[in-house]
Amino acid sequence: MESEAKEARVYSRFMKAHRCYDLVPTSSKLVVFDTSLQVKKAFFALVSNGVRAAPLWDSKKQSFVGMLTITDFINILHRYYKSPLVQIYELEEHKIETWRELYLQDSSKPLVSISPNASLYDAVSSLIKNKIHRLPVIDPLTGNTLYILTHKRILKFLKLFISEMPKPEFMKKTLEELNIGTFDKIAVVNAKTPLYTALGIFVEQRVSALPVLDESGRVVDIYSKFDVINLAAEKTYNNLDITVTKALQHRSQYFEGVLKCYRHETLETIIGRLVEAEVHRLVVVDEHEVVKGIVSLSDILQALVLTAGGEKSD
Amino acid sequence: MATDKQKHEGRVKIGHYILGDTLGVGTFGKVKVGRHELTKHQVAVKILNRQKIRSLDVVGKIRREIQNLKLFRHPHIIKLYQVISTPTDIFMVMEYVSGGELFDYICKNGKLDEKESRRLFQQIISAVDYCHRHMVVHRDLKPENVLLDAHMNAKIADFGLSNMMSDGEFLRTSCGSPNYAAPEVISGRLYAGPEVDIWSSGVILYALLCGTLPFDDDHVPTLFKKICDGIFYTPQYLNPSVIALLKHMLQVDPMKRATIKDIRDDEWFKHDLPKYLFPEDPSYSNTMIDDEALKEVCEKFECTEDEVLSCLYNRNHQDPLAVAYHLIIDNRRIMNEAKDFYLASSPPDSFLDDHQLAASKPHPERVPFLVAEATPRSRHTLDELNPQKSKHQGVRRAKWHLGIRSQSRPNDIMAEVCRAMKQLDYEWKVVNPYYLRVRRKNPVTSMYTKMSLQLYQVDSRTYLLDFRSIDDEVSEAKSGTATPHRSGSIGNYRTASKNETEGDTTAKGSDGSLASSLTSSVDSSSGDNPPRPGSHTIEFFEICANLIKILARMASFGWKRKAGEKVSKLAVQQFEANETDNAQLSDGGEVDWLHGIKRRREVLLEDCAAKSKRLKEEGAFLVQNGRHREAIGRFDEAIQLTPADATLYEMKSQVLMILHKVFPAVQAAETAVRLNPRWWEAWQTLGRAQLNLGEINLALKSFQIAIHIFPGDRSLWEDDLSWAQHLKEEKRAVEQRGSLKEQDKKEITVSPALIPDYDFESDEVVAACVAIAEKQNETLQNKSTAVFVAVNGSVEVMSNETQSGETVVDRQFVSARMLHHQLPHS
Repeated sequence: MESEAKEARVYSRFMKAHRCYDLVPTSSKLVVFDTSLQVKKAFFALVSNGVRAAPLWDSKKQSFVGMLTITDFINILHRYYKSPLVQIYELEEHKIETWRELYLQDSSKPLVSISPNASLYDAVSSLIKNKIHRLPVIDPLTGNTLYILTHKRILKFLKLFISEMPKPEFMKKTLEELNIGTFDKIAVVNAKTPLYTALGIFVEQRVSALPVLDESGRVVDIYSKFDVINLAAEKTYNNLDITVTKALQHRSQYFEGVLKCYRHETLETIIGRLVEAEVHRLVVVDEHEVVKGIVSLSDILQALVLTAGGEKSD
Repeated sequence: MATDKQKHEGRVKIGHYILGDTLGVGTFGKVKVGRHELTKHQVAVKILNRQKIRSLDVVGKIRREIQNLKLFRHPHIIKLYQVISTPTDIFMVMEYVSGGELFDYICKNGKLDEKESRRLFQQIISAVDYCHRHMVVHRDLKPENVLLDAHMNAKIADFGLSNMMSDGEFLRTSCGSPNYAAPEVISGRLYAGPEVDIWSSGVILYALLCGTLPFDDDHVPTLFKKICDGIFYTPQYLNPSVIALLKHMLQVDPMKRATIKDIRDDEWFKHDLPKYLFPEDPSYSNTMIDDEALKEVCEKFECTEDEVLSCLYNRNHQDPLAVAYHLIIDNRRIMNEAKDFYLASSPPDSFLDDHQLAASKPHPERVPFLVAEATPRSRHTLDELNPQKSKHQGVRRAKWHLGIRSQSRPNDIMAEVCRAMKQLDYEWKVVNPYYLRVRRKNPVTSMYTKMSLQLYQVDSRTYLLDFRSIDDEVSEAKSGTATPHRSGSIGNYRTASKNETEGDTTAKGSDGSLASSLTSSVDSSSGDNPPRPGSHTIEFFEICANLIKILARMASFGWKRKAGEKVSKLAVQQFEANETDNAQLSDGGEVDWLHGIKRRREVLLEDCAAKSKRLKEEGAFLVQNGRHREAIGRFDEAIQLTPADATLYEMKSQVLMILHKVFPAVQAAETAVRLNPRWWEAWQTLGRAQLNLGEINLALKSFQIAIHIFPGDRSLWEDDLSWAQHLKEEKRAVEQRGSLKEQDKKEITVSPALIPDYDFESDEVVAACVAIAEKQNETLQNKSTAVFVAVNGSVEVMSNETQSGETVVDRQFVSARMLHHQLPHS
């Protein structure tokens, strides 16, 4: 029993034995925004530089104060959108610091970051506890941000070494047995849902993707937060009355289908599929393609690392 | 290596080894012990006398063997360390063992018990097998060649006669002492090799078990007969199974003789057989110890290679040396697989160019081009959402530069820089007039940020001020391994920082020592360094930006001066007065450095455009004055400044045509057209250039395009297009005429008049001949007529006689149109 439990925690131990530094690539791109930059320019800069998130630098405070991500873009759009005919003034005119003031009001959320010397275990804990998807790695020596850590990167790293470690029992168990993922009150949209409504769901429910269903509840597509940045790229953010389907047209050309999985598939299989597909989540469906739940990287990492396959620890 | 035998106080030295007593005498020479003069390490030095070797004609063979022997690594084969060559001798420096010869041992102690015999025999067979796998046959195995080390382990030596075995090659030379020689050897028959060693090994086994030789006789012919009969005496105390083995090994017929495989399958042999002797590990049988890994282990553990090797051979998996060795190998394998992991940036990666579009599937966060592309591309990046990029495929993205340029005099530039820094409250040190080290105290964090400024000369008139970040002194002092000159480098030592992570750091505990020793929650005894406030790199950018902003404003004043003019003090004072006014007007303390840089760039660009314009005008003027080459020079300079200006190429093309540089003219016109495809005049120029080149069809197309763009220009219709068509007709006519003449010629040669029906001397024949002759003359005449389509557009038919040396192309075809537009000429 004792050894089984020990084996189950092999990934936790692996994570504790490696540092965030180990995940930083030898060369990568980092974009930083000064908070006095206009939000609109910032979002365009995200697009033109091909990055998803950027740390924010407050020159008055001489420190990093937060991150600008697509979530911010979604929040601005949702909060200030009026109609296709009216320009979103706040988007066009505000600076990042103005937006943050309004958004954060008085709840001062300090920047969540991590040192390169901290363990991966701590990184995973931080991501999950703070419910964030981007964790900046800041070097205590220089104060510089080195890299933005994500669930994906961590799992990819784990996958490299996974064959070197003994495989715990729970890897062969099914999703169902392990009860990993969300199966209750899944946020979904249908093909005709207006974009504005979809954005509202992102804001209220704090999910990162919405399966798009047809009339019979079968999943036909998925609208994720990432897709929203396309509105900035195409400069079509001023009409949020369009349907989700229309909003997804830009990638319909070679959309290969929603990445799915079944409840009876093993954790091992699921992890393999996630890493291979490089997506953040899989839609759990039944044999009729009806959506049953969602399993995401956060769920996986939580299970692997923090709770060691389901045994509840904290 | 210059290692010569030295006679030093009566002692002989080889390399650093001093030779001592003789250990034994071999076929080719003695074996002496050698002792390292410094380390006292002992070796055995076999001395081969060259003369003797030469007489036996084995010099080349020995050299070959030696190369391979050096590579051999087996626990029961004497290692060859080094070979030293002198004009008279060859010295083989080998492993020294203290146990002496097995032969002597048996003589002294008699036979060995079964267990001991087996142990030694197993070692010997292992060694023989190893040699055979590497295509080396010993051929002279005997107890004298089996040495013993301090722990009674066998070590085979003396490959003196062994030879490289080639597949199928039969060895002719008979060798070895008769007692141990296999029947086929003493019979002088051809033999392959390995079986011979098996025979000899059998003899050794017998000797071990019995203390005597299986075949022995003082009378040599009798001895030979005994060997060839293969009958030997087996004492009672011998185990029947070993007798069977012996009989199998001492088989007269080499085909029936036991092989290594047979021996390994033998039950008696298998008993208590140590695994390491016949490892299944393929790396072992390839002698492929990973040398790099081996070296690394030795470096890190400060041990000898032997220590590591013995662990590996003994399959001592728990030993930290073996563990380290295997870890290194495994890690290398993983790292090869993970190469991409460390090169990839966080998705999406936007800098892959088309060459790297392998057959990899699209990253889910990559989006297709917005511009309608029929086929989706296999790799799409977030930045392709940028509509700018989608329109200009292949246009190079704007590069960001940090630095400013000026065309003022260097001293003035540096003076301005210092003035600007004074205003900003920076401190600086002058290392030399054009290299400054600057530092600024951060008003919020009170930390110093440093940078260096260096002025470079870019070309004859332009200077560039470059900014470079200097690492924090703090980090440089503490971490000796931090790379200098790179800001923000990751320090190489670990500090426990206090406020680095959220979340619980209760990583210690039941998980074992491995975990707790490596988490960040470890003791903060390694220096209580709070994390540095601010950000080194960002602060560096900020001080650069502040400086650039001020310089840009000052320099815009500088642009108004002409190059070379010195600034009057008054002017400077006035400017500074203006500056302070401006400063009060602007928002307090807001550093909008992005705009500063942008404005700077715009100022630079502006200047280029103005300069280019000036050069263009100069060029036009020069053409008007017939100074064509100089004009081209001006146009080229202008092109350097504004390479996207189509008019420059168009003008250049016209001038090139004047200079009769037909190919370059077409090239320039093509560039003009490429840059501005909607500019009909460029197409017109292109067409004309193509006409010059003789490409009538292409020219026609160009004119047609020009007309299509701008049908209103009459000259296009009347002059160019119709002209080109006319030329086309001419060409066709010429060709037709040519073909007609061809036809004529054919007719001449096949003329019915030549059909030899006629009587040779009749009148009709003569008449026919005259007719033929006249026709032929005509052809000859036609040949010498040429049709010239001259540059000036005239078509001239000339015959040989009228041809003169003078060219027809003196007149200019194109009056430089653009030039007319610019100058007050008509």
